[in-house]
Amino acid sequence: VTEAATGPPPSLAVDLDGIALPTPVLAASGCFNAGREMSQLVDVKRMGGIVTKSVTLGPTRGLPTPRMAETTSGMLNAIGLQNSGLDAFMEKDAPWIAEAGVPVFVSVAGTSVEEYTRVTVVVREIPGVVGIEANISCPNVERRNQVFACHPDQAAEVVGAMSRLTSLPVFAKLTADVTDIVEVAEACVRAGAQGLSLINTLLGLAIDVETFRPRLGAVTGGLSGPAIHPVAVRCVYQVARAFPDIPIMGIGGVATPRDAIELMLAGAWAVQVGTANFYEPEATIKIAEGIGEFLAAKGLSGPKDLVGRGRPSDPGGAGAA
Amino acid sequence: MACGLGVCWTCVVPVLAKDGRGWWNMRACVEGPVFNGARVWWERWFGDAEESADAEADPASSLTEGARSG
Repeated sequence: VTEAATGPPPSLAVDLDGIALPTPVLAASGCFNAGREMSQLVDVKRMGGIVTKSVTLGPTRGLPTPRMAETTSGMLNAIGLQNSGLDAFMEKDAPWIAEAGVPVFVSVAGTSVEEYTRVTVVVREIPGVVGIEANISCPNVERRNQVFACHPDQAAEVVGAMSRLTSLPVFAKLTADVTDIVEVAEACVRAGAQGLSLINTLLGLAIDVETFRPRLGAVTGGLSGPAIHPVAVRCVYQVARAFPDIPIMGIGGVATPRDAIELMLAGAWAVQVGTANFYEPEATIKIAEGIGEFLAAKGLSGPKDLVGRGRPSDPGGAGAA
Repeated sequence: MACGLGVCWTCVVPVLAKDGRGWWNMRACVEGPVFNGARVWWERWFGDAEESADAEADPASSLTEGARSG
């Protein structure tokens, strides 16, 4: 633990328009389950929060193996939203969430508006849940036209229906695999989304040149890791410029404090760490500590001093402090 | 991935229920690594992707198929 040379270390607490988080670094959906298993290794109270693996209404078996392939500076996965369904989540994970002492967003997925809403009205009651993340952008679904976030009107329908059913903030998780992510973001915000999570994995494909076969059982998969980081920074930047008052959680290839800071400079109010958890279960905690050291070194008072400041026209930008 | 902690769902093995009426992708890292070979659905595990996708569309027939090959 490093301490600032002078004065107390900056507070890392952030406020996502009413949601108080102890740090701006959360675990991303699909990389931490709901936290129960990981809590044996990680002091979750030191995390900014946990976004659960997506919960579907019924049990979901997911896609055939192999489900993961390493690629240059990243990896592809095609899990297919495997989870035991809402009932098992409420029985096994909800009691843990209620006692965990860490802010939790429940990620909700489905194949129809009704499925999303039926899960939402149940998980909204769990103590400790501070928000819902609408996973409308998982690329690993049977039909590509099931990706609600590829269609502004469909995205709005799902997010609108969920938002009307809960006083909890609903964050819409979007994909960069669209022509204009700002258009989809606008549809979600108009429909009632109180926040946005940017971005999900990018649809990719890897082929084994020895066997001539796709490396994933499902053929295509979602690309994550450092390879997608600049895409995430671009998406956050574009959307934050259009909606400066809407909280954005930046996601995509965050592995170091500087990756997180870059997303915040682009306009993210907080960040989520996904792939890095698999090789460093304490990644969220260590990255938050690194942000604290950076803020102290720059003489900044808190994470909010970074948000949206990475702009060409900002005279107080890079190196000003 | 594979994380070895039970959270990435990469290391799964398709295993038939004890009564043979249903199956689930079990995590080798936390629910294995030893499984009853008679209940492992080998064909799905090592079959090509298209066959597996077809099988999942009809769980009833795929279970029968799994029992034969297992």
